[in-house]
Amino acid sequence: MSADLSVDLGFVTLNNPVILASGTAGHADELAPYMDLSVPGAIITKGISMNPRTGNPAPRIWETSSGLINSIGLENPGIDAFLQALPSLISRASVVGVNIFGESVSEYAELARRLDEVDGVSFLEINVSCPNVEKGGEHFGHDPEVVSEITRLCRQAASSKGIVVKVPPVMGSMDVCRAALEAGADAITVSNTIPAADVDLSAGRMVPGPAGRGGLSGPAVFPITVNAVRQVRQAFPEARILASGGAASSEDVLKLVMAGADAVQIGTVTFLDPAAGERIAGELPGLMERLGIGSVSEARGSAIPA
Amino acid sequence: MKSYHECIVTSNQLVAPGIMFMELYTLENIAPKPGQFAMLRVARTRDPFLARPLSIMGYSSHTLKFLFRVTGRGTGLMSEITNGYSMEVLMPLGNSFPEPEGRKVLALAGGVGLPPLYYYKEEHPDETTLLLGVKTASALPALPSRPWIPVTEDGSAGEKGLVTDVAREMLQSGDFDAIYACGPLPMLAQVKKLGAEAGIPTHVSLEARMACGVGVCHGCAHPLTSGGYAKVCTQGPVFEAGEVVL
Repeated sequence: MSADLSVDLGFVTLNNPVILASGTAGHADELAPYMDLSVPGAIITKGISMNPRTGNPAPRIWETSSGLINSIGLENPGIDAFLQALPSLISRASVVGVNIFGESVSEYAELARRLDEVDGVSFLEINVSCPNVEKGGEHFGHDPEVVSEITRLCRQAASSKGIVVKVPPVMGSMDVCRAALEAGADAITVSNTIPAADVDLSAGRMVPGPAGRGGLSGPAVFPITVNAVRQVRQAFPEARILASGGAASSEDVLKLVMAGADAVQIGTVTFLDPAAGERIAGELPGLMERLGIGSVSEARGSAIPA
Repeated sequence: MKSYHECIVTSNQLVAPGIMFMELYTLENIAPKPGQFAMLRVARTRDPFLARPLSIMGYSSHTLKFLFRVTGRGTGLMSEITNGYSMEVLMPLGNSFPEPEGRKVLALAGGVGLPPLYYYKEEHPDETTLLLGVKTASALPALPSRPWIPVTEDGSAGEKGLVTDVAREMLQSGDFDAIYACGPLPMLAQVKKLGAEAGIPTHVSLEARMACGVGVCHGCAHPLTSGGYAKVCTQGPVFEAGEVVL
């Protein structure tokens, strides 16, 4: 009797809990030579804005112990060019989510309205929490009232799609999660990257990016994510939670489910191994069997102390 | 499907101060083209975290060749690798130098910019003139085969001066269809001017800090003269000199 990997998120049922995170899987074509894109439960595209953004100058990335700090600058071709490239991903992936961000509240709504019209897009992931952008990023995500308004407007504008809100690192504040859920979010992604920096000794300058800081990801942040997922699960027992931050193996995916996540996004590990999404999803059944776990849904939150 | 695969180190030698020459045995049958690169995973552990991109210096009979300068943690660990060690390698990545039939190429290499042009010369020995510019004679890599004209800044070997100055003279008297170059950015900026003066196609191979090497992290951006950025790993590493900011 093989394990049941399916995940019911309400607006869609995934074949398995492994999701390719936004900003790590391109628009689809890039990973196709390396893996079968239909294997992960879902793929979330890189963040899209109304207008194209060129992104930051180098250095955009900086290696750390077991991690990576990024300050890409939300480079993207803008919604029009993106919609032309999107069908290629929709034809390859099992479930597609589109990550969006705006420089103003109204831009979020406009993006949601445009994407509501696209068959093959299952959900929108709203980025209010990217640490890299001066406008529309860090500030929005720490104001529960603004998050509430953005969620509400996107909910109204994209009535046919799931609405997932990607929050900043949780670090003890539940207000943003509460605001998103009460405004109609179908799920919360816990969480975006962790604000971090390093120093380039030879240049005598903080890195990465023009501001000398970025978002930390990779195994270094995994324990932070496990803790944050548990916090959100205990605060909101009925919510759907997508974990994001540091998972790099099928064991990590299962740990996050047991800490309270419905599904788990993998990201930085794809930079180490472009086929990671396929490999990790493929290893899950054997892992669950060895541990005597019959289904992902029964495992959700099972490790949280009573 | 393309994937990281095991390669065995068959030699790893110091060939100039701070410069290593590594050969690896691979079972893969993929034939890379001059200009393409590989991502090498230095260690089985997560230290260093990212693989390292290196331009492919040669490939024949299942043997891959690389040349690298020890500059930091990753290359430092690579310099200590002994024969028999297995490394995981993802290749070939990126684009390659154009190879039209019979094209007479003036190939200009600066320091450890040598690998892609060394490979190109190996594939097109008769039509390629390869200049290697270094500071001083001891920096010339002691490789088994040295098919280059050395140019040293202090005149301790070969022509004296900068490789771009020697190239300018050769372009005036010689008959070349194109210039291919790889080296420090200030050198490539000079090469761009040379190419414009000579009015012939000029291609440069760039390097960049990389995480994924396959086009999904957007980390390896290099500015374009037309605005915005190109990904060195998928749109390059070889670019027309006029397209990129140098």
